[in-house]
Amino acid sequence: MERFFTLEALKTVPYYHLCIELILIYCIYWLYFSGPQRDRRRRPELTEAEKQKLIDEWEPEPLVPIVEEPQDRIVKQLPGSKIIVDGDECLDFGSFDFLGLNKDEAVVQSGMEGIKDYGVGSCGPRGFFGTFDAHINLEVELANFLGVDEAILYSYGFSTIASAIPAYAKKGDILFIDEQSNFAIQQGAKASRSTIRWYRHNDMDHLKELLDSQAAIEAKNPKKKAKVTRKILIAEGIYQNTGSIAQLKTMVEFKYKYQVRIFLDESNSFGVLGESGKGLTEHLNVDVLDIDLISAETERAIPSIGEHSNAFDLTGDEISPIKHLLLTHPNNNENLNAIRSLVQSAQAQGIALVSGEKLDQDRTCNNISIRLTVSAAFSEEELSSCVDVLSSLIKQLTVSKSSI
Amino acid sequence: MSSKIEEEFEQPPLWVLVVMYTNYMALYIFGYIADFCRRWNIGKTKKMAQDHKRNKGFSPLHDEFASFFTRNMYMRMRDRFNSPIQSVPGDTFELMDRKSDDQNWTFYFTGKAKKSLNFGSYNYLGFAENTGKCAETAEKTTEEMSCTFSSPRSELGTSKKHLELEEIWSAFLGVEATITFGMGFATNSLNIPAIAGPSCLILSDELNHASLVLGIRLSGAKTIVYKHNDMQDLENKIRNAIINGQDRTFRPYKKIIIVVEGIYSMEGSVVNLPKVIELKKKYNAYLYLDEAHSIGALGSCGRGVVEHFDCDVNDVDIMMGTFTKSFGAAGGYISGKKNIINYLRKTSHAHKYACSMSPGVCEQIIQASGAVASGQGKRRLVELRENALHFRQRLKKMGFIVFGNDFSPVVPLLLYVPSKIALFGRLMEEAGIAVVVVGFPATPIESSRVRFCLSASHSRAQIDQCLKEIDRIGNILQLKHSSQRKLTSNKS
Repeated sequence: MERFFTLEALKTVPYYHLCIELILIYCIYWLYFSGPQRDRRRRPELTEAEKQKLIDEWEPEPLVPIVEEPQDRIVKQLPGSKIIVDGDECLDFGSFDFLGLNKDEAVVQSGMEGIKDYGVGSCGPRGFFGTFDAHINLEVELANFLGVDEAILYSYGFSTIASAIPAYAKKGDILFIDEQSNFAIQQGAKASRSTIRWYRHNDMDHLKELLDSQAAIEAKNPKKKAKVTRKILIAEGIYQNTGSIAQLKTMVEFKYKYQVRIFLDESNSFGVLGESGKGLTEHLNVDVLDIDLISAETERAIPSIGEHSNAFDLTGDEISPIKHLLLTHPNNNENLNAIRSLVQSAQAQGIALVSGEKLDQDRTCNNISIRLTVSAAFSEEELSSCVDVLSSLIKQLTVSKSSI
Repeated sequence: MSSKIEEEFEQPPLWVLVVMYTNYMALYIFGYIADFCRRWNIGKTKKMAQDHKRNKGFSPLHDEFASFFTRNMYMRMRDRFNSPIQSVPGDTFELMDRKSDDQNWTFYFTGKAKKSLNFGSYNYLGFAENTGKCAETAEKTTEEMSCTFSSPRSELGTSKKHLELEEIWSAFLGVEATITFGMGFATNSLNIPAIAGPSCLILSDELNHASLVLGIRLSGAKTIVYKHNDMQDLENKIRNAIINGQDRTFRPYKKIIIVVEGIYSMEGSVVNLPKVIELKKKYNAYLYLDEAHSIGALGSCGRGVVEHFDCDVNDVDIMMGTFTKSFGAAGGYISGKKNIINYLRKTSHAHKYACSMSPGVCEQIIQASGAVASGQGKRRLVELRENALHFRQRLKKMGFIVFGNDFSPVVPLLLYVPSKIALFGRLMEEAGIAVVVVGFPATPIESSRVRFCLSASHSRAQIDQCLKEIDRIGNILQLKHSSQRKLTSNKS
C-alpha cells in the first residue's frame, strides 16, 4: 500500500501512462487559461479615458415620449340608470354595474356603516392586522353561496386573477389561455413565467389539438414531465373583450381527460348568470367542485339588444350583458376616429358608451369595438331608445363611408 | 445632514448565530419526522386542506419539497399571522381571540376579543379613525356618490372628486401633476411596465418591495440589483452598464431607471437620496422613488423623504407613494412632470383596465392631507418623530439590536433565532400588545425580527408600557445582544 505514495511508485508506472497524464494536465491548464483570453480578444479591456468617453457620450431617450393631454370624461351618478357625462345626461351603457346595485340605498348605507365601524383604511396588509371580522364573514358567506371550500378577498379587482395565477403556476408549468382573455389574465400569466399556449377564442377543437400535442410530449417522458408539470386551463365566464360565454362543459370534459386544472374568471358573470347569480357554473349546470379556482371582481356584478350592420359585427352570446359592436374592417386610424365620433354623438343623444380601446401591450389590441353593458336597472323603453340611436348613428356612419 | 443618513446594522455575537443555525437544524429534523408521520397517517389532522378527490392523479398544486418550510416551520407560528381584528386599527384595537386544536392547521373563534395596544399597523399619522372630520366627510361623500363607479378611470370612472384629489395632491407635493389609483401595490406593479420596456435598464435596491419587483419583472426590462443603500455599488453598476451596453447586442441602453424606496419597511432604513440624485444627474439616469412608507412620516410638513433631505422635488422623475399608510385610506399615486402623467393616463394598465378609486376614499385623503398641511397635522408630525426617537433610543439603551435610521417610524428589533419569533409574539399578545413578527422568507434567513410601527396617536404612557414589556420579555428570551450597551455601561 505505502508504495503508492512514494516516488518509487512513479518508476513502476508505465511511461505511456505518465505521458497521457501530462497531456491531460496540459489540457486542464489550456482550458482554464485560454477561455478568458478568447473573451478578451472579442472585447478588449478599455482604458479609463475610453470608458469615460463612453459615459460622456451616452444619451438616454426621454423617459416618456411627448403626448397630448388625454381628456377623461367626467361622470356624475344620478339615481336609476342615468349618469351625467361631461354635462350630458345619459343612459349608462358603459360601466360594469350590471345589477344596478351601485346606487342601491341599502348598499350605500352598509358602506357608510363600514366607515363608522372601521374607518376608511385598513393601515396594513391582511397578514399584519389588516384582516377585519368583516373580511372573514364575507369570505365565509361567499364560500357558502358558491358552495366551495373557501374564499379569499383581494382589495383590487384587477389584481385578483393577476396574482392568483402566479401563486400556483410557476416556471415550467403550462397554461392554456383563450386568445381573447382580458388583460389581467394576460398579466398574471406573464408574471408566472410559465409556458403559455394560446387557443383561438372559444375554439374547443383548437384547445383539444393543443392538449393532445402536450399529452404526446408527456407520453415520451412519463416519469418526469407528466407528474411534475402543472397544466392549467384559464377561461373567462363572460369574455369582457367579446361578450361571449365560455364552453365550460367541454372544458370540464377535457379536464378529466387531460388532467388539466381549470381557473375561471367570473368577473363579468358572477351575479349575472344562473338563477341565483352564482355565475356560469350554475347557468350551465356544471358542478362547482369541478372548477379548481373561481375569481371575480366584486366591483362589477352585472341582461340583450342586438343590431347588425355592414360595418359592424355584433358579438356576445344572447344571455350575456356585454355586447361588442366590432369593426369588421382591419384596424386603422380612420376607423378609430369613426368609433370615437360615434361614441361622442351617442353621448350627445343621451347614451353613454365606451369604445373598447386597448393598450398596445394588450394581445387583443387589434379589435376595436364599442362595448355595451346592460344593467338590470334599465327599463324596456330605455333599451329600445338605445337601439334606435345606435342604428341611426351606424347608418350615418356607413353612408358616409360608402360615399368616401 | 450626515446624521440623517447614518444607519445601524449591528452584527450579533457569534454564539447567537450558532444557536440560530442549531435551531434551524432541529426544526428541519423534526420537520422530516413530522412529514414521515403524516405520510403514515399518524397525527394527521382531518381538516387539513387537500386536493379534491376528483383530482386524483393530477400533478400536485404545490411542490412537496418547496412547501416543506410552509408545512413544518410556518405552521408552528401560523397563529402570529393574519390575526383578525374587529375595530379601527388606531392606537389600540380589539384583537379577536382564536384557538387551534390541531397545531395551527385550522382555527376557530372563541367569540371573545381582547383590547390590545397596536404596534403593528402602518398608522403613522394616526388617521385610522372612525370618528372626526375625515371619517364623517368620507361617509357623506359615500352617501352622495355611492361606493364605486364600476368603471375604469379612462372609461366612465372619473368624477370631479378624483380630479379634485389629484389637484390637491399635486399642490401638497409641489409637483406639476398627479394620477391616482385604487391600490398601492398595483400602482407599482401596473405602472412600471408602462414606463420601462425591453432595452431599458432598471437598477433596483436589493430590498425593494415585492410590488416593485413584480412591476419590473412585468416590464421586461433588464434588471440589475445593487446592495442595499450602497451608493458605491450603485455607481459601479451604472458605469459598467453604460460602458458595456445591453447583454447580447452590446448596444447602449435606451434609458436607465434607478428604483428606490423612501423608507424600507423591513429594515427601517432611509434611502440616501442626496447621493442618489447626484448619481442620477451625473449619469443621466431617471429616478423612480417609492414613498409608500415615507410620505407623511418624514419631512417637517410630511412631504416625505424629499423634504426630509431638503432636495428639489423636480430632481425626482417619478414620485410614487401610497395613501394606505400615513393617511389611513387606500390606493396610490404617481406624481411628476405634466407630460409623464399625461403619458401614464394614456398607457397605464391600472388607469385603462382597473376600477377607479372609491369616492369616499378620495375624500378621506383630501381631508387628511388638508389636516397635515394645517397646524393640527404639524402636531401629529412632531409627535410621531418624538415617539419614534424615544422608542428607538430606549430600545438601544436596553441593549437590543435595532436596525435602521433614527428618523424612521419603523423600528425592527432583531430576534435571530426562529423559535423566538413565535414566542415573542405570543408573550407580547398575552401582555396586551400586538406586534408584527417576521421571519424567512420575508427577511433573510439569519435575521428574523419583530417590527414596531410607531404612530402619532400613541401616548407616551402607551409607549412606556410597551417598552416595559419588551424589556421583561427580552430578559426572558435573552435578546439583548448589542455590544454597544456594554461599551456605554463600562464608561459610566
